[in-house]
Amino acid sequence: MTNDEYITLIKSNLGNSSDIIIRSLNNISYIYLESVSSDDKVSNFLLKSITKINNINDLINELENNIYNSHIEIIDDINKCYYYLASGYTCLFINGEQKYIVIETKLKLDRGVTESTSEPLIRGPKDSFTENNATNLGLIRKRIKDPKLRINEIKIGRRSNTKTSIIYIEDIANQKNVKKIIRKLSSIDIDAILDSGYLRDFLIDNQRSLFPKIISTERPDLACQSILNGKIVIMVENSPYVIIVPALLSDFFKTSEDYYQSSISSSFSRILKWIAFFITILTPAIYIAVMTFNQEMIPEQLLISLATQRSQVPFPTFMEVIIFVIFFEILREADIKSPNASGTSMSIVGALILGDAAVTAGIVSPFVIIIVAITSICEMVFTDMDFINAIRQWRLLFIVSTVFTGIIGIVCALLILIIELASLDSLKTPYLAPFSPLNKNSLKDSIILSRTNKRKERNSFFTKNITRVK
Amino acid sequence: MRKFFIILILLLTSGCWNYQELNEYAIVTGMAVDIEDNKYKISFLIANGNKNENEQTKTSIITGHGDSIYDAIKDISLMSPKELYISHLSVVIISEELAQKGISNLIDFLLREPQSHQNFYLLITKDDNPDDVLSILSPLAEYPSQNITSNVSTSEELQAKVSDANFNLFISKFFETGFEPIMNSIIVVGNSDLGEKPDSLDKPKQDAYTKLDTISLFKGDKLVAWSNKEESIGINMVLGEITNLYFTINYKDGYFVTNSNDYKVKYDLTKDKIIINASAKGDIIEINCNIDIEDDKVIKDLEKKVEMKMKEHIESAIKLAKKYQTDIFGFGNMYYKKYPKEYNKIKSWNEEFTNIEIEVITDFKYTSKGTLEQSTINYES
Repeated sequence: MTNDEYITLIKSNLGNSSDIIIRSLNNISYIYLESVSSDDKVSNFLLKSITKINNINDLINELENNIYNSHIEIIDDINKCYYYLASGYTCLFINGEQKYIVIETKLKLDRGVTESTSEPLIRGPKDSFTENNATNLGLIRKRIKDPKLRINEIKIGRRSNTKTSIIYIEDIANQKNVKKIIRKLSSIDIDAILDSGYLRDFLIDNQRSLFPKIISTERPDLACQSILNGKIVIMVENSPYVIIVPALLSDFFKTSEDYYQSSISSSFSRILKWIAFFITILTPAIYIAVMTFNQEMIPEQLLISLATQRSQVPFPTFMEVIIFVIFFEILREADIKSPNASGTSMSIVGALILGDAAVTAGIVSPFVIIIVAITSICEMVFTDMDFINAIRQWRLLFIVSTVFTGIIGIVCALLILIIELASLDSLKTPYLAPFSPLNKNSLKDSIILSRTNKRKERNSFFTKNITRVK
Repeated sequence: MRKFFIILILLLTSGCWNYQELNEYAIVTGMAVDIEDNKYKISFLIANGNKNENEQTKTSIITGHGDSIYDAIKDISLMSPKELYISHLSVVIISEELAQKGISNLIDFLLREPQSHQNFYLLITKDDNPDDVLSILSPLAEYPSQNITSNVSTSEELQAKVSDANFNLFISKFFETGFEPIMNSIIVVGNSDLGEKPDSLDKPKQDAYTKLDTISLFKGDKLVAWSNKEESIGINMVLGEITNLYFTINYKDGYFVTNSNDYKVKYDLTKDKIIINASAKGDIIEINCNIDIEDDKVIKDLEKKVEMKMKEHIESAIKLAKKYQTDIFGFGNMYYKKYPKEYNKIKSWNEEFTNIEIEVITDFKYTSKGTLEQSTINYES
C-alpha cells in the first residue's frame, strides 16, 4: 500500500475526525491527532530530523536512527495505529514500506502532582497520585529503587484500552496472589475502564459483605508501604486512586502518617480510632435501647433531664433518631457534592438553623442532636469512603435490631457483626488478622504500634520474606 | 429473599418486647411511708414534671392510702397520668410510728419488687410527717430527693454523727446473725408549710430546710430507742464506719477543738470480754483558752483529755445499747464467727450482750498543731 492509501484508510476509519493532521514530504507522510499530540514536538523534533536525512534508500532504518526522540517503534500491523494515535503518538509512513514508525509526541494533558485532598496528613510527604500513568509510576519508582520492583501492564477495555499496572516486589509479594490478580484482570472484558473503581467488583469474590476488601488511596507513600509489606498495588491510567489488595479490617485504622510519628502517639490515635469505630456504630442504637427498654441503666439525674427533654416530643425515640441520622447523611452528601461557595451557607442552614429550630419546635429532643453529632464526628475519623459506607449501613442495622428488642438486639447485632467479619477474607487472608487468627508478630503493628526499630518483621499473612529490619 | 422474610417475621412478631418510652414514665425518686388509722399512707416524689418558665423541672408529690403497700401504690397510680417507675428510687423516708410497729412489710416489698434496686437511702423522721420531709426544696439541689441523698452521702464522710444509711447495709444487718440495724434520722428545721413552696427558693434565707439528725436504734424491724448527739458519735466510733471525727473539749477557762482524719478501731474478743481499741491521730483546729501549745506537757495533757472524751462517747453508746438490749455493734456476729458452738447455746444474744463486759481503750496522738504556733489569746498581752 502506498502512503495515500494508508492515510485514506486511517482517515475513513476515524470518521474524518476534525483533529487529524496529515502532512506529506516527498516519500514520507505523517499523521497525528492534534487533540492529544504536541504540535511543538512534531515540528521541533520530527520535522527537523526528517528534513536532515540524505540517504533515501533505506529510509526506515535511517529515520529510526536519526529522529530526535527516545521513544520510537517500528510496527507492521496497521490496526495498532489507532491506539498509538489516540495515545498521542505520530505515525510515520514511507512509500513502498509495509512497516511504519510511531514516535512519541504526547501533549501533557494532566495537572501536576498536587497535595492530597481526600487524605491529608500533618507530618509526611504531601504529594498525591495524578491522572497520568507515567507520573504515578514515577512517584512509586522514586520511592522504591529496588530492581525487584515489578510493574506488569495489562490493557483493559475494548474501547478505552486503559493501561492497568500491577505493581509489586517480586521477592516479597505472594506470587500466587499476583498470578491470581493478573488472571482476574486479563479476563475482564468490558467496553471501558474510566477509574480504578471499575475494577472493584471484578477483584472481589464474595460481594455480599458491606466491608471493603480493597483499599483505594491517592497517597503514593501508603501505596509504597503496602508494596513493601507484600501487598499488590493496581494502578489504572487516568485515575488518581490506586487499589491496594489484600485489605484487612485493621488497615482502615492505619494511616501512612502513623509510621512517621512517634509510636506512642500513633498508638494513641489508633486506639482513639477503634473507640470511634464502636461509638459511631453503636451510639444511636444504645440510645434507643436505653431510652425505650432499659431505662434502669441511666443515672438518676440524667434520666430525669432526659425525661423532661423528651416530654415535648410527639414521636417515638427510634423515629426521632432515624429521622435525624438520615437527615444528617443527606446533609453530608449534599455538602460533599456542592461547590465550595454554597457549602458554607448550607452547613449553616443545615447544622445551626435546622438543628436548633428542630429542638425549639419540639420535633426532636436536644439529646438526639448530641447523639447524631457524636456519631457523625466519630465517622469522620475514617477516610476510606467504602469503609464509611459500611459503617453507615451497619449503624442502621443496629438501630433496626434495637427498635424491636433493646439491648438484646444490640448484642445480637454485635454477634452478627463479629461473625460476618470473622468469615470474610481478602485474597485468602482472614479479614480479622492479626487478631483472629492471632499473630504475635503482626500485633506489633495493629492497635498498638511498636517502635520502628523493634518491628523487625513484616506481616507474615502477606509474605514469606519477613525480615524487615536486620 | 426467603431469609429476609423469616427475619422480618421474627422481628415484627416479637411485638417490641418491654418497649416503653421514657416520657411515659413518672420517675419516682423519693418515697415516704407512714401509717394512718392502721392503713398505709404512701407518698411518691415524682421528679419529671413539666418545666416552668425558668427552665426548672417541677416535682410533684402524690399520696395514696391502702391496706397494703401495693394497694397504696395502686391508689397513687390512679392519680398519676404516667406509669410509675421506681427503679430510680433514691430515698425512702419512714415515720416514727411505722418504725415502732415494725417495718418488715416494707423491707419485704422493697426487696421483692422487681423494679426496685437496693441502692437507696433509708431514713427515719422523728416528729415530722415523712412526706413533708420529701417536699422541702433546696436552692442547692435540683429536686428534694437529690437534696437529701447528696446531703447524706457528703455528711457520712465528713460528720461522725451520720453513718451510711444505705438500704443495702440496713438489710444486711437486719438479716445477719448477732447484728441489729441502726437508721439515720432526718428532721425539718423551720416552717415546712412555707418550705414546700417554690418561691421560698427565691429568698436568700430559706423558710425551711432538712437536716440530718441523730441515729435511731432498732431491734429486729422495730424502733426501740433514739440516741443523742454524743451517743450517735459513739455508735459510729464503735462501728468504725467513720474516718472523720472532731471533739469540742472544755479546758481550763475555755475550750479547744480537735479534728481527726485518721480514726481506727480494733476489737479483741474473748468468751467473756470484749476489748474495744480505738485510736486516732489528729490536729488542733481551734483554741479558745490560755495554754502554751509549744509545751510538750500541755500537748500530752490535751491528748489525755481527747482520749477521755473518746472513751466517754463510746461508753455512752454502749450504755444506751445495753439499756435497750440491742446489739447494734454486731458483737454477736463476731462472737458467732469465733465461737459458733457457744453462740448456738445462747438463747438470746441480746440478753447476753447486756451482761458481757466491754472494756474501752482509747489512744490519741497529735500530728500537727495547725498553722498557728500559739493560741491567739496569748498574743493579746
